[in-house]
Amino acid sequence: MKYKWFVPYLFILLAMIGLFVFRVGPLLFAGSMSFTDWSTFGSPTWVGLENYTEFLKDSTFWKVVGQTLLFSLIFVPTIVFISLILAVLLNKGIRGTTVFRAIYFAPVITSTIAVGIVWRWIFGADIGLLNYLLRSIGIADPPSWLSDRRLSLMVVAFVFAWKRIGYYMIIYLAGLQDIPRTLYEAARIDGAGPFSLFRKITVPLVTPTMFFIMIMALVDSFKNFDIIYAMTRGGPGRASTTLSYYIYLHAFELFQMGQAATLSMVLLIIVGTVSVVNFYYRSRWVHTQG
Amino acid sequence: MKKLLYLFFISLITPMLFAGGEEEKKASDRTMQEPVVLEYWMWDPNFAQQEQAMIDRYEASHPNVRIRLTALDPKSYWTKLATMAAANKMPDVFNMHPNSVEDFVDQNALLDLTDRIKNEFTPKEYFWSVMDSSFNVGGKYYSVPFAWVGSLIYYNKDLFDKYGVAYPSKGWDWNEFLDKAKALTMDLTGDGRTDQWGYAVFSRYAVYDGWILQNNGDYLNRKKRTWDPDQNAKEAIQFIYDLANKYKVSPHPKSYDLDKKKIKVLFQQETAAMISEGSWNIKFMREDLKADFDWNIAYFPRGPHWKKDTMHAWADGIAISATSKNPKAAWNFIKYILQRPADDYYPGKVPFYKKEAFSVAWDDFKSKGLPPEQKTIILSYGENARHFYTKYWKFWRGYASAEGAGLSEFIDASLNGDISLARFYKDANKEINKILNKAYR
Repeated sequence: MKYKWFVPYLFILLAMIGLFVFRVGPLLFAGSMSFTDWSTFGSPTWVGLENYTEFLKDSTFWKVVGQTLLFSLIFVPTIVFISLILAVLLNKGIRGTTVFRAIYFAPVITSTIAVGIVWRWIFGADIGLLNYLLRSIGIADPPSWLSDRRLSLMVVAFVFAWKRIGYYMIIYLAGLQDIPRTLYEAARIDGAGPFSLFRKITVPLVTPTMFFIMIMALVDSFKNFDIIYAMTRGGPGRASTTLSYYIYLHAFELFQMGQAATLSMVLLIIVGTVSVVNFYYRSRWVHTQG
Repeated sequence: MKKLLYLFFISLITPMLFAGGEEEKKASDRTMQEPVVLEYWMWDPNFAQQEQAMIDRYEASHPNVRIRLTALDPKSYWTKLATMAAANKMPDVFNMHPNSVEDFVDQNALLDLTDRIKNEFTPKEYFWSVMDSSFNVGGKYYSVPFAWVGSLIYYNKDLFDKYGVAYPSKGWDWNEFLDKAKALTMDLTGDGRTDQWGYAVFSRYAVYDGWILQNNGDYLNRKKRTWDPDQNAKEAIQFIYDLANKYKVSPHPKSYDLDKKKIKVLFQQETAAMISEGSWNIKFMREDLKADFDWNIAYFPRGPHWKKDTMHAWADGIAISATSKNPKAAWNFIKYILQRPADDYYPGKVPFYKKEAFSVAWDDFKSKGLPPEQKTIILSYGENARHFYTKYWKFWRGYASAEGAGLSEFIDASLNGDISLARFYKDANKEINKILNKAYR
């Protein structure tokens, strides 16, 4: 039976409509907005590259970009390695695995605002749980975790990683279960210890999952608006302001939609570049079972 | 032939005319029957019930007007208002704030109320200085206050009594303030660390800016629209810096993660004997963070260059959309709102209409025995109100989602002892003027 030429396209039509209406369309719209001066109240005015050149000359912008990258630099390796370790431990089949899985996954489904509030209390300078513990062991003057401009970004990145680790751990678990048991058995017969098994079998064979997680975590690390809003509001000063928070400030505090769109495009370029670089070097460290 | 054509046109036009007349009649009937509907947006859902009760009263006395109230959380209020402005669907009547009025005026989103105000209001009946400082944009009024608020010193009377410190005198100055703050700052546990502070201060506008004005200072060059603190302002900034870093009667803000909630907690827990905050916090002190001790309010103390009491005060206003189809009905409704009874107001907010502000009902210490005893001292400030709002104020001052940024960042860093005052001026000048230049380019 022969189908008309357009029949296959009908099957993907709905998906394509969704893609264009909710993804490609807004992306193109934001792209064109980034060349305008648009304050929401009035009509957009074409300003060409002015928004871009202004940001490029602005030291605050570069500070925010630097902090965005620092946030990712803390978040991504923490996610990639800690969630792998947790997944490996849970993959051992020890007692209570299901309970631990649920415990580690719980923060993923907990509201970010609730997480932010609880951790704010834990990191509180005067009545925080952490500083209470530090004082009780003799540290008289513990840090002001969230009010110290040197620490706040790191603290928020840590909390965000804590919240997301469970999600990536589940993905690692799926990847670990794909590794044939026979490989471990053969290696054990050859006298390999637990560390060698991990280093020479688990890590190489989990690299495709690790690559996927790295890309996902990288994208995740740029979507940190809500945790920053809940914990520090980008402060003290702008010490924990990242691009996503900066976009929000321009769009919904200053109502400068054109500038917010410009910042969104910058974020898109950064995420895109880092992802492309990752894909480029993928073949050097990702091993697939052939 | 001509006659025929003439008849043809007449027969064509006549039904049209009748039809038109019919339509007009129908429209006129509709006007007779259907009430005018006004969309009214406000920014305080906690107050929605009282607002609705006021609307019910208004509708009962104005059967041809219907008011549709939308009460939004302050966090989403401006975003939604801006979105409606973009869609050209602004509500007819809505709350307006001096920190946003210039933005809306720039976009021709507000109805010019100047003539209405000048023709129908008399300066004697209202707190005119509040309106002038809050809503006069280029000599025109684009909003009218319904209430106003300002910054105050709150003090714990019980702690003053306990340590034999006299309450603030009526015209107290910085020296008197410092003496009291020193007398109330103490190490209660004997571990060498201060547990009770005479005063707590941090960068928040409602906490900090009153100090500048009571020394006859200004940190804005209002003509050039730049951040350029004058000598009196610098003197106040130095004094506040010394409170935390030299006299050590106020904690480093970072030691307590001070923010708008935490400073009230410090007062409520008696960790700080005095704080400064907005007058609207009278409600919080009474209800939300109930202070389990006797407390009162005072003016900001006078600095060495004080000339007259100048309150850091500003209006909560109401505006009419430039695109409202019923500006007359909207204006009548606004006038009604302004005359509402004092009981209807949020504690700590002063009615713009003096008759209500000076009523016994507003002085609820006298009428109901509710603290603070000296609530009426706020009233005198309404004659000389000033503030520092400009375009992009939230961004350069550090407010809402940008709190802790802009000027707040540098104030807190200096109060924390992280930067010197020289560095404070250098950084603040660079950062704030960059934002103001952008706002007024």
